[in-house]
Amino acid sequence: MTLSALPLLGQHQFGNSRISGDFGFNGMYYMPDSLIGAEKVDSKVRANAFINLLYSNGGFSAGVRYEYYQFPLIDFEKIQYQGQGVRYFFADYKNKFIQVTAGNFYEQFGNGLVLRAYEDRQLGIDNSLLGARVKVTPYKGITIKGVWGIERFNFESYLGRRDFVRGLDGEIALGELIPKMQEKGFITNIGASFVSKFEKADEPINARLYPGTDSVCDGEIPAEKIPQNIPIWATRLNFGYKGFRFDAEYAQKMQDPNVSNDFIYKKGDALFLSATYSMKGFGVAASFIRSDNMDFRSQRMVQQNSWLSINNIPAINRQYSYQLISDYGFASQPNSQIGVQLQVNYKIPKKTKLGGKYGTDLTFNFSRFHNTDQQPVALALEYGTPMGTEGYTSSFFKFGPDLLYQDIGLEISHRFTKAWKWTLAYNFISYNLEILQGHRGMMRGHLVASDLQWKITSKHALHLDLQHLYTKDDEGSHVYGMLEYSISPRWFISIGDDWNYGNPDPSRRLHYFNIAGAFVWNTTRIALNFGKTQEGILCIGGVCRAVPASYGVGLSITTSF
Amino acid sequence: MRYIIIALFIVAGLMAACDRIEGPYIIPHEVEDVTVEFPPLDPSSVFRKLLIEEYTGHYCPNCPDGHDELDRLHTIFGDTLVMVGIHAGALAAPQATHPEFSYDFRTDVGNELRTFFNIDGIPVAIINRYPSIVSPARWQTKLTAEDRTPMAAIQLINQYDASGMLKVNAKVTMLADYPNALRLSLFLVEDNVIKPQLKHSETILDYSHKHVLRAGLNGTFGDLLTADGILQKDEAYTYGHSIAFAGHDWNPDNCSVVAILHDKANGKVLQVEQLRVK
Repeated sequence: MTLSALPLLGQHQFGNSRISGDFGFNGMYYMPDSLIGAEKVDSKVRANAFINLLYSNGGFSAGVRYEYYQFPLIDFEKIQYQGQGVRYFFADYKNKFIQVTAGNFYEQFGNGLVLRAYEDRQLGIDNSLLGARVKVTPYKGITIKGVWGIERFNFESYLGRRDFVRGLDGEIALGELIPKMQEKGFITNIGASFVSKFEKADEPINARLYPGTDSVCDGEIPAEKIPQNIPIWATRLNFGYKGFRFDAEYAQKMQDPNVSNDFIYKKGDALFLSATYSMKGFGVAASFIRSDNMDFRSQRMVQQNSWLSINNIPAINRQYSYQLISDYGFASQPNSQIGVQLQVNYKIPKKTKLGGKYGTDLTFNFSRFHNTDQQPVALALEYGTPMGTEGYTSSFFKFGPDLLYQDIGLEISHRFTKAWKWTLAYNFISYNLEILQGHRGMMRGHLVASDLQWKITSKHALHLDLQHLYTKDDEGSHVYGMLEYSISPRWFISIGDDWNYGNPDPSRRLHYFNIAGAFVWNTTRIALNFGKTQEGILCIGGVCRAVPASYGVGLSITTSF
Repeated sequence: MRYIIIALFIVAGLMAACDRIEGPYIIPHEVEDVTVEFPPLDPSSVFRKLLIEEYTGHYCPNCPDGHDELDRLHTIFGDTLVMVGIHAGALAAPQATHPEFSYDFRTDVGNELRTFFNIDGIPVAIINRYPSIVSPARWQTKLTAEDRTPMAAIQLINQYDASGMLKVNAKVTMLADYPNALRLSLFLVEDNVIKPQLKHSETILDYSHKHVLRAGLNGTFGDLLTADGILQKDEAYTYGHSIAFAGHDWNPDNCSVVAILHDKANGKVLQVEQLRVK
């Protein structure tokens, strides 16, 4: 994988006008490596590039982004994020009462269960809507948003599209309406959302009935039986008092037969609950999520990647940056998942035997996710397929038979002196390869990770990251080491290696080394790396994409102005 | 009052944005009988043919290289190689910004196969349904390595009438015992479809597209043979299915039927046969 960095925004002012922007380039020279499965890339050099320009003057702003992904990094070619042109532009005006946006915009209602139009450049996701948005604040504490637009689909043309999205969201912040609540420390927000997609249906969907019996025959869902206007709605509550916070959102989707749910007519629903409590030296956070038949896209025949996803069911498990479990990141399953997440943080006080001079941080984590309980309806059993039926019934709080993901982890972080800090972590991960990656079986692995930081002087620092994943499943055990030396604020250099020493196939016990360096000057960052990337997946916040094996030299440049 | 009117407008708008469909949602088709007589089969004359399903697209600049490679392979393997060109994905879709590429080659069957085999970049192929994506440079190697032991024979008789209705009659005869359930898929493919094709940086307006997948007569993965899909050596199974050409721009003179006998569980192709519609 090539290096990348988040651009920093700078700006230039001319009177009341401001112009700002940022530029990013991420390129790679590919070399074939048959051992790791890195295929020959004919063009050898590939790159992603973009530039953002933003103009603002008082309440008015306008922006445009040009993207050049015509010959992109192979990761992006695999997900068909390929093309070039201006695919993001907008004009926006806002004052205290109203904000109007025309062009492309990103938007999220609540936790995103019904609408999340967003961009993630690393994942190659841009679900922006092209259309119009209005936000109104008719009274202090009351916000109403309306959106109307066509969802972006990579570099495909908007012309000829037969689908669009419209939605409405309202939120009342009671603390702002009733100042006494706020004065006493209460936070209470309530909200509701409604989103509907339209997609023309003028062709039947073919089906196979009674498969495996003498009565096997074809069938079809006629066009007039395919819903064209599909609504989804949600209500939410956010409550807080001192160190306690509680969030809840429930969403329901109406009949939405599509390729991802085998064209069933059952309603979908999702429930997200989260409670946190924190006080000095102690914190606890618990979450619950259930999501069933909630894959909601602009087009019913699309199910790959995050293409045309209108909503986003968040993954609530703890997110890690450990190299060795990056391939086992939990991908949120909008059509079938139920699970819990619990995290407890405790700080052993400073100036105690165990706490030492600076105290010791302990973090315990537990998460477990299953598929939802699904009992086929009688007609689905009779037909031998759920297609064109209500599909199944589901007991709301019952966990399904298949474990998707489990993580039990403990992390200890201790600062010995001003210069030395050490973090030690242990995780036991269970990961359903079959459902989450389409491979066979479960991966059960033990990860031990050590992260040692030594601040040599105020400018010079060393960082040693050691990890060991022990597993007899999938590709077997790995060991990883990375040493990074930084001279702030300008330079850093690192060298690392991931050795798949426990691969069941002795010929695939390979090293995946990486050497990287970066130079930072004001808002410009130039990074270079050389190494091998193992085939796997990349997950951010429960949204994942495939990462092909690669070998080569990467160059990343980001700057802002 | 003003807010009530606004609220009523909003509620009316939301109601209009909902469709509620009443069941039943699906309509079964009727199963067809086979009334034709198949000629006697000589097992010694049966070759085990090879299936190559090529994923391609008219707006894919490198795909003509794949087409050329298929032409070359045809000279090596002859009619024992059955080719199906599956136009699927973004590069096979109509290109709104390039009106010359407005034709839609895509099919439900092709789209579903592409999703099933997780096809990303093209041109690539799936050979004998083994779930491994193969780039053109390795097609010949993979084909050469395939098992050619005849396991079954497929006989086809096509009946095309003046109203544009095609009835395909198929007979599968097992030449060896096979323990797993088998399916039979019937595809319609067309040669010499003259439509534009991007070839590297050049647009060829009168490109001749060959073996273009037009439809799956019995769905994407076909029907089981018998109730449990299992046939023993020397047992035979007959199957009929019709499809109407009316309403399509398919030229029956250029069309043929491809019958694929494959393992229900692992997709492995035991036999494949092709016969012209007319």
